[in-house]
Amino acid sequence: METLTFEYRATRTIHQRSHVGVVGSGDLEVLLEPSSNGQAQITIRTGSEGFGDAWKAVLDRFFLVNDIAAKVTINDFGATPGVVNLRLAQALEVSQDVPHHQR
Amino acid sequence: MEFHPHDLLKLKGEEDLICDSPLQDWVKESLSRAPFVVVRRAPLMKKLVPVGVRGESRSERFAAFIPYDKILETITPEQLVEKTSWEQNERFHFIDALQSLPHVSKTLSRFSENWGPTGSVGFELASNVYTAKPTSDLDLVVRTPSLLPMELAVDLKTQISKVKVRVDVQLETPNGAIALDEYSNGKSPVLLRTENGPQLVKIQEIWNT
Repeated sequence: METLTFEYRATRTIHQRSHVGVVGSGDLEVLLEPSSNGQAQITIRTGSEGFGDAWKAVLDRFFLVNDIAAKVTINDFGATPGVVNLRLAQALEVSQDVPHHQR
Repeated sequence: MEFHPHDLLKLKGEEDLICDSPLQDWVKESLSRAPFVVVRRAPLMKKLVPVGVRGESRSERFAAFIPYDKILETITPEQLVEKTSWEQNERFHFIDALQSLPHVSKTLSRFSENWGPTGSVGFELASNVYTAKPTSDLDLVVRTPSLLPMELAVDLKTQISKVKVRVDVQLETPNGAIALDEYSNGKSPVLLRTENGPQLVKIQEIWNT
């Protein structure tokens, strides 16, 4: 088990806490919580060790485009970068409270 | 020839794999221990099947291709159930994930005829090489060619949660695979794993053609 942390400057806020994803092979859980310190602070717990660079690449890109002030907690179960990116986007959408998928 | 993600293919050895990057040492060791590869969820290339090599740890996964004519044997997750292969496994009493299979089998037979173990347990049952760990989850694939009604999904999740290991069920739909845990939650969207990568789909559109 490895814990990774990343930080990005942020200007935008999110409206509410969100929790998406599942505990299961090749997937991950993402918890987004609003934060007021002008940063995105990401903590990742993963069972797949040695992928720090891959995480950095996915997160750099995501938080450059989405500069949200939030505490982000990720429990990873060996998700691919594609799955990570989708789950982050999903968590962001839920946190902005536009559940149009359910309309 | 037809291949599905999670099928296990037996090969002669590392020399039969086609890959973009050089084989790492662990890949060679792994194949000499158990000459089996797992079919990956990726488009079939002409006469080449996308496969993955498993290593001992979760971070050891290697993507490659195998030509049709180098495949010695195909073992599907369903075949492991037909043979009730866990009954012959010598580690049945040491590995909870193996031990839970009789119960899981009884439960699942009410929901689908086509299911089977994947992951480390499936690999061990197919190869007879120690792969599962005492802490291993039980990964299963359940074929759901048509819509699985939500009440059934919730019932299945409840029943399957009664065993003492964590059971991770992937529902294999004609469009790709979804996690039972996520589907039975009832929330939209859900993550669908397709051969062209993962995507989020509306829950009511999972089985749409």
